[in-house]
Amino acid sequence: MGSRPASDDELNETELNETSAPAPAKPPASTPQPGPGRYEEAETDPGSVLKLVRASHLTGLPIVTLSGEHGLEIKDVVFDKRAGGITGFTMRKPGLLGGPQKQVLMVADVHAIGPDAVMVPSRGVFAAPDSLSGSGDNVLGDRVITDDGTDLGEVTDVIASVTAGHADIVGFEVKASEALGTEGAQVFLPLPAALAISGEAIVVPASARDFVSEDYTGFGASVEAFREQLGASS
Amino acid sequence: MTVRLQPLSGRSVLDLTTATTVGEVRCAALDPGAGEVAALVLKKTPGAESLLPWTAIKAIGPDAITIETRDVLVAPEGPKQERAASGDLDPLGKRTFNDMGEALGQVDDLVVDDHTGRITEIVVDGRHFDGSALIGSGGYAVIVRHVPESNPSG
Repeated sequence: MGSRPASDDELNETELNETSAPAPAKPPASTPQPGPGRYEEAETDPGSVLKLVRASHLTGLPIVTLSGEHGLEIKDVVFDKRAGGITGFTMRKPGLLGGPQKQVLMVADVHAIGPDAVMVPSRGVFAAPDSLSGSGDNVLGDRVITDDGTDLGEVTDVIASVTAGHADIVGFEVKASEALGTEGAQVFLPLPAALAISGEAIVVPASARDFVSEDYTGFGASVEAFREQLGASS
Repeated sequence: MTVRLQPLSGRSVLDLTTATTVGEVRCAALDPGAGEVAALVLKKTPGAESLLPWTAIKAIGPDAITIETRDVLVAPEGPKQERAASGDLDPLGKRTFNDMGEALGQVDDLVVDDHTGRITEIVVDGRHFDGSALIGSGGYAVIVRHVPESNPSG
């Protein structure tokens, strides 16, 4: 009667359906699409591809495979100061009893970092812990000093621009020093694409001061404006 | 013709050869790669054969789903089918993410071609996604492909 038993294939979930899944089709025009509105995303110019995320918001995000499985969440964000980027993440099991995991997740193996989850192709991308050795510097608490010798404040969070496989540090949230005129306030400081870092402090061009913004909204535009200005003046 | 999955839950499955009920629908087992419902998972079956391959369904009626004979039912084989048979992979009510890591809500329902089992629509918190956007369906979540923001003409 045309009936057939379910073969293994029919019920198997595929770990990664990137190649086997059908191409995306346009949804009906009348249905609203998920927008970036719930992402705490700095506004950027139209056409800009900067998608910003605060490093502190990554901790605790579930790590979800494209086949819909989850077992671990982000524990710590591991920076590579010299490269000015995020190298990867340590992981933990969720919940109070969640212990640390030996395996780590490299940024290069991430499918996407979103507001609600870090997506990975499969559990197979988790890497041995020594993949992260050599990085792991913490920038939180570091002083930010301009190249003309003004202390702008202390780093309290890292703002990264996220694209598939990359997370570049584009700015810091800084607890402002006296020099900024808003001592103690949290402000956002854009960083040059090439970041100069010493052992104890982070050195930024003096002109970065002019691009400090007090709220996160619009920070993406500040980063772009600052970097444009740096390019024009060099 | 399409059919919604959610109302099928609990519907009895009738063996037309013996005119007896062989079980009730517990949930669906998806094959995200093929974009199809591979089988219905049944409960209250007399034996271990708890999977009803979608293509073995004769008719989906308002009061019963009919099959020619209970021989079309199969027992789960291997860990993944066993997981599906346990209801762990039931997509309905699952949280949904797109592949950009944005949570979209919970799966309300799936709209399925009654003949082939092809998933034509995924309904998430009242929003309809094309079935072809389905990437994965696991124990934790259903994953759909992110559709980029487009201008109104798109």
